[in-house]
Amino acid sequence: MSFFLNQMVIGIQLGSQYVLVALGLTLIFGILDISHFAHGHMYMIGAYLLYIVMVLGGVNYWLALVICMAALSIAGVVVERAVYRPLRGQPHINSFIAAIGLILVLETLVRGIQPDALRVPKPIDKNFSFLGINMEVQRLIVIVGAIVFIILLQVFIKRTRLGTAIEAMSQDREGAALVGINVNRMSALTFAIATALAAVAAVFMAPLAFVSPEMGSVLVLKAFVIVVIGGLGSMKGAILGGYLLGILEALAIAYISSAYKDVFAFGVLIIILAIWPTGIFGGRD
Amino acid sequence: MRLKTIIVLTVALLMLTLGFASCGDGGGDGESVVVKIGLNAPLSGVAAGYGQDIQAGIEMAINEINDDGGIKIGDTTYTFELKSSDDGMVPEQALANANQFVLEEGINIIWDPTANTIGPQMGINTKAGEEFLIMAYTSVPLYAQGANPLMITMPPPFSIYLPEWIKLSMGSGWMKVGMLQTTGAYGELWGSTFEKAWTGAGGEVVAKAPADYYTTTDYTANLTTVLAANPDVLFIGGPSDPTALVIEQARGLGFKGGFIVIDQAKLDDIADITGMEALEGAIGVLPVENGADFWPAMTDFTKMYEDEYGERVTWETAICYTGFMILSKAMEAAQSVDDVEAIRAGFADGDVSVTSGDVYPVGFEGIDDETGALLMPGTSTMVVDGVFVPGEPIEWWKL
Repeated sequence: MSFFLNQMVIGIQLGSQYVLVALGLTLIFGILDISHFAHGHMYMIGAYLLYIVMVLGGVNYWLALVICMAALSIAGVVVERAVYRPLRGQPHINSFIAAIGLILVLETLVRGIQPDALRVPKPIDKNFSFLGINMEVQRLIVIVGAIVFIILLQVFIKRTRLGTAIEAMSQDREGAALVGINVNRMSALTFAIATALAAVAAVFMAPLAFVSPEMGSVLVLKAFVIVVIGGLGSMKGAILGGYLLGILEALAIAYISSAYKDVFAFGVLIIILAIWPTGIFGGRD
Repeated sequence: MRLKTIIVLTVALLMLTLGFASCGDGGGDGESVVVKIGLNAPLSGVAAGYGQDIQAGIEMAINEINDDGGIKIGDTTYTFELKSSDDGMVPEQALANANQFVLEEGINIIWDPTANTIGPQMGINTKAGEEFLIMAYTSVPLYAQGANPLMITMPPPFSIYLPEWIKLSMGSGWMKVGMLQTTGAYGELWGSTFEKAWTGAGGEVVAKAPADYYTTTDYTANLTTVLAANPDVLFIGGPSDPTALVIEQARGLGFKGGFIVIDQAKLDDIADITGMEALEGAIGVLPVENGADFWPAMTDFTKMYEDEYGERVTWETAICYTGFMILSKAMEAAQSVDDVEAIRAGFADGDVSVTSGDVYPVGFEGIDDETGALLMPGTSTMVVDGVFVPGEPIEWWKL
């Protein structure tokens, strides 16, 4: 029983990073109709920034989290301005190609500066035991931290004027423009929030893994599948899909076969998509 | 009119320079002749570092021989020059490079460090009139068993490590193993070979959860699955960086046992990341600097390399350096730099393929004349009380 519980907790922790990345993707897609494939590489930049700020700069972990979020939200705005805005109104393939270009630029740039993989120390280098579960405190930080940021995002979208404007835009862009919402400003804001969420995921995950130029490549693909399954543009879908994928992976490793965990996890997601073609929560088509 | 004159003059000048250049190449009796050696290796992309290590070993040997005035055969002195071509580990590219070397540049000795590009060249290197000798740096057992009359293999086949590692592990009382090595052809070959040998020796495989070391960033789910079966030792390994992470996470989950680490992962690189404490009880290939325990000249070689290249030496460099020295001796024994059959026979002439560890960083103990495999003992190690303790050298050709 404690083994099962253990795997569930690990699954939730795996899912937490998927959710944080998928939320950003779904926000951007829902509001701007852009498939931002370079989102995983922004996540990677966030992890390197954490290394610079915390390891090289000697800044406290939690302060580093804030700095990384702020810096990456600015980076997000820059990406929106420089890469995607000039392509607005053009065929989807153009922004897709731009994303691939951005991926190549970021990855080669980072590899050129620092070819070796880096480590970031854990802020609390301890283990905890609870109900037969024994794992690093950092995993608890990932789980709880993700929940906190999911709630903050929900509150922002539902309870503030800016948030409501973003939601209005995701539901009907022309309508939102007609009632006086500034589309450009909302696009920039969306990118800022989404990229800051990627920074959160990176700062939480970096102490548990390696910081390397390709660390976001597989993650962004998984996040994209989650976004599609959950319903493009649906935040509820991204949250549920992210946790589901994490748990499915952890259980597949334990009870089926570690070599086929992706086959199993994605297989289940494909079946769900077959039943609900527009994703679990409908989303946009 | 003026343009025409300029063109004519340029062409004439060009022909003149080329003419002189080719004269200079000709050489003659009592003079010095340059022998070109080809290197077919990945020099760009993910495996570039590996190719450069091989290249560095050959270059160091060539520089040393040339600085000493080259080798003398009859009245002629020969010096060496390395021609490198990037094959990106693509078999077709390797074949194209080999043809370029042999047909265009008159090269008849080609160095190659990857198994999948050596294979195709074994199909063309014995063609009459276009023969070339393959200096193969590969640990794939099939190649060391040799089927090619014009090929020399340098490092020992990887399969020789298993009996020693199993002995070290079971000698520590570890009978239950959990397997978490990398997936893919290499990892699976290692996994199945290991499993057979382990159970054959009376051990038990209690859990298996291999992971793709190239894409996985968190091994905890795999580790908790394997550790739930209470193994004494974990069979792990892939590239060094992720292997270090597996070890760190296993310790983080409270695992106290040992590790059997497959040869792709370098224990010294792992120690740089995890520290020696986490590595306690790790069994694998001996770090190259500890090769000095067997071959004292390794110490000076390591220093020389670090001075020149500014980083830690690798086995690849040390083995290729020594391999090239043997090649030059084989040429002297054969009294030829281009009769590849004679050179191949020269390797087995007397003590040509024996290198003393007091002079060379790697002590080869001869050659198996049947297969063309140079006899380098396997070097394994186990971490005990925070130090790499070398195992007995594995003289696999005697087994």
